[in-house]
Amino acid sequence: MLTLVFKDILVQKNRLWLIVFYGVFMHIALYSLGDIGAYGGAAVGITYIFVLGACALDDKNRSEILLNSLPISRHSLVTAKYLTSLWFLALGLVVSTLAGTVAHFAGLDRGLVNLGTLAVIVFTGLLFISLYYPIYFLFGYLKARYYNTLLFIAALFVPALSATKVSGVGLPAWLGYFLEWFNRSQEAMALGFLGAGLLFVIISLLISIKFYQEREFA
Amino acid sequence: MEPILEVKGLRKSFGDFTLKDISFSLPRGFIMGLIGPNGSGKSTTIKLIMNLLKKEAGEVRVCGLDTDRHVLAVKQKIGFVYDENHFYDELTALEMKRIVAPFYREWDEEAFNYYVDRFQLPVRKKIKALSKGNKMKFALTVALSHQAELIIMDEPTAGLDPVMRSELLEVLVELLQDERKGVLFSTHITTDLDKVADYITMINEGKVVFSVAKDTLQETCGLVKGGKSQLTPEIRDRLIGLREGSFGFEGLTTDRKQMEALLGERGVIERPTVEEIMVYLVRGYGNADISL
Repeated sequence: MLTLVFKDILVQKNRLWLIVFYGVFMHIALYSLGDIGAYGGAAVGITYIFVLGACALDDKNRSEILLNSLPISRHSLVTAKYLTSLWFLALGLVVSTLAGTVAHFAGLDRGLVNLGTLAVIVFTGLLFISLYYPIYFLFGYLKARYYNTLLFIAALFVPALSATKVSGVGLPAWLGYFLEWFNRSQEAMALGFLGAGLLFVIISLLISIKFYQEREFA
Repeated sequence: MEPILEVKGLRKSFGDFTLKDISFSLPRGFIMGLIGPNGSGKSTTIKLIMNLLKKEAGEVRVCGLDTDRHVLAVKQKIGFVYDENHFYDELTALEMKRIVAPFYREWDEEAFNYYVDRFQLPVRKKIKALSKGNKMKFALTVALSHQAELIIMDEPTAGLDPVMRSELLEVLVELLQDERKGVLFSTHITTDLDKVADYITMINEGKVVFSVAKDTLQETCGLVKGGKSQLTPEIRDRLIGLREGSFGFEGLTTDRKQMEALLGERGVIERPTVEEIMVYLVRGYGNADISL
């Protein structure tokens, strides 16, 4: 399965430099969205670009016919795609954190990343992965492209919007209390976001496997 | 010994096309040509064997193993070459090999290097920079490098020059010196099958027209030629894809002996090529009574 993850990275090796470019660019472009917006936009943006990049190359080369003719189970093919996206999310987080840290020490108005910010970003990344793949595995890359556009916009702005939500603005009272407790303990918040994100990913993975088992390659 | 490939009652529908009860069997040690006009169902049959499409009914066995129940074990035993390149254009042939090889339990690096040398493949070049012929050779190299028992090829020679086609056919004939192996070879270029095929299966409009040994086919069928005066109603009724000109007629018989008796000394019955058999059968399909 790791070979498949390696394959998704290798096929994009010529544009891996974009990771650094987007890391810096998003911090500049999303400057006004605050720390979570900039850190998250960069990390989730990188995940989005490389996850879709790997899927686009599979589609362009019609490689699903090759992969499904090899002795690889369909659930391994699906699971490998999820692992690939987790790898790019991790890479996006590292690059985004480094870019933000450099900006902070360069005297720009950018805070250092904290556990709460990281939790929101990871959650957003996991949410994007969870929402994208079932549609991709059901319809294939081309048919899912309009949906991709919506996800792209969400991938950029959800981290910033999440920050608003976490601050408790405009939420029902019960959720406000819950978030207040969350905000008091960064560890609890991080754990909560991470747990919820992972739960989404697992449910999404199971749905994707189910969809992909039924896919045909004409 | 069980056949290397056994297809029984395969059915699949797409819109207005239906593959109807496809059945044939390929013994070990032989090459089977799969022929038929465009859209007849050859590629669909191959995709069903490869589990790329879901069958509605029927059964496929490779080396005695059911392809639904033993998906991965079956794919270990199959080497495949498709009509198009499905490798990643962005990778070199060597990088592509590094990705594919770990999935095969019996990957044979020596065999890979042997075919790379034999075909003079530029493995350090990106796949997109390879010619069509080299892409096919690379696919064949991969197919022959993991001790596959069954080689499945879907139009591998389409668009290749005669030298490359001949090279490919040579490799297949050499491969079958190992009598445990078998080749299923779908093609439009039936002259290739005249050279190497042992069995021919013809599919038309989603149905198997025949599936027999090539020699039997060519002995049973005959290309009947004669003058206009020799075309009696009895002969006319028994000819498939009859063509009449101002001087004479031409048609196919699937019962050479019967036609010889009817024709006597008056006409000529020639041994047909696979292409002639296919062309006449497709032209006369519908009123042909084919029992070979």
